[in-house]
Amino acid sequence: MNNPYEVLGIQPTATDEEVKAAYRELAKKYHPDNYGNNPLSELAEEKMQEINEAYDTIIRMRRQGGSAGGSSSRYSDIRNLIRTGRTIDAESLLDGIPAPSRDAEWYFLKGSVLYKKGWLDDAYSHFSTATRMDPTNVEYRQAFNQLDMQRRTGGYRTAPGSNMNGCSTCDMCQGLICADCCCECMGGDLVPCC
Amino acid sequence: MLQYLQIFHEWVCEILYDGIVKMGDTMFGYVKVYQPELKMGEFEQYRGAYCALCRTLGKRYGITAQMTLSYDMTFLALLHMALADSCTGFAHGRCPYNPFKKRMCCKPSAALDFAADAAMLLVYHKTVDTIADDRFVKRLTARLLLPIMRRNRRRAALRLPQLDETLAAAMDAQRDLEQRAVSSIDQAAEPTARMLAALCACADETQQPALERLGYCLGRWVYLMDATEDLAEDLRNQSYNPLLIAHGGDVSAARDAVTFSLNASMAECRAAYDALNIRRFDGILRNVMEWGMPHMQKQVLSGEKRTRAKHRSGGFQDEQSV
Repeated sequence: MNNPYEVLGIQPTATDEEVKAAYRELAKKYHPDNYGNNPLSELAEEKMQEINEAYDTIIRMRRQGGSAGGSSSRYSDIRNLIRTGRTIDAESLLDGIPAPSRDAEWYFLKGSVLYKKGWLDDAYSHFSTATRMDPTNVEYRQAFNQLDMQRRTGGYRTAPGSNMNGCSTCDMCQGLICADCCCECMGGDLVPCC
Repeated sequence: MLQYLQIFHEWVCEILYDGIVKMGDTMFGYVKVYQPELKMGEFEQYRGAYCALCRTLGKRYGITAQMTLSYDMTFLALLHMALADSCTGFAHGRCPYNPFKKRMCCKPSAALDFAADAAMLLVYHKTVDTIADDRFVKRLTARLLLPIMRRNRRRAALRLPQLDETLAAAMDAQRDLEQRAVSSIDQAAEPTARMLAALCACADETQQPALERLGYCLGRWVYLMDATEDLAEDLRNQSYNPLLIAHGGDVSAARDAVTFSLNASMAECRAAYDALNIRRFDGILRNVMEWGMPHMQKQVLSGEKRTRAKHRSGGFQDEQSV
């Protein structure tokens, strides 16, 4: 399944309220009532299902305390504070943890707090430390990638399909190879050299 | 004789321009539309808001205030108009300074009043700042204008007491940072970011978080842009610049690194904007964020110094065409 946060168009650091608001907005948009006999109604239904699933997944993950990656209970209070938007309290709790016992999750959470505050540079360095300390964690990686993308592109939203503009040389080669494979399957040959 | 007159005229223009008109660029003139990508109708509306803000300034604070009219504050007025419950509409009118042209002008609204008052608060602080640390000629003009600006600020503060306090606190924080020569970019950008967050804030509870975020990130972007543009000059004068401290005085390294921070701030602005419930002027505001800001950023990063002549062609002539 796709990343549930991407489906709802929000960040993993979003508060519960933001998740709910995003869900409601999308559900309104793709509600079957809007489509009726429209030929696109099936597509909308599919989309609706996807949204429902994404929402359920996020809520389930959050109920379990900590999202993807089964985090320890050590930070669950802080996670709760961040989720409910009390970033100042969360930050003071985080700062209270002595430097030697700061692990990847600490850096991730501190990064999230800084991100919420708008301190984007420090947030970036914390996220990157978190991913360096625990490269397998999906949650940290996602947060890092998202901010990294923003830093490189400035958030240019590329229109869907804009990376497929026209037919590049690459596409043509790919097409030829595909066609060749098909032909070979059927016993023929399109490109004799391969 | 004619030659002397011309020189004198240039000189007067310069003083007027540097001393008063630029004082109005409260966000350093970075936040404006990118005309080639604006629709004709939107351009007309933009001019209408610009005219209306000028009128409001004139009516409330007089002709000196009018001279500080800026695109930055037009953006602010448009943002608040875009969020307002009802649209006050446009009327045809003539500009007293350009009486042969008829144009559209927004009818008076709370958003315009707010932008005009806020502009006066900002201009006052900028004047004080100029007196503290600028070149001689500019300093002199600023000193001459200070009594008027102070009066304007007093009046504006009566209408927006809370904003006045926030701005004054931010200016103090800024001075304090400069004295301590803070090297953290995030920390250095905080006062300006807070200031813009306060300016963008509105009464609507549901819009508030996104608006504040938009203001914060916009302020951050503006601060970093200014720091980037001043890199070479600050290095020469040994004045405070967090980017220089962070990169040990290496201008090109600082410029490379700040690109990422600028991009991230801009991206956050857009993300926050998307979360807003914009009722009108969406095209114009989007143009500022998706074309105007990147264009300006590219200009500043390429080290193309926006010289005075350029400023003027971007300011004065544009203003006549607007």
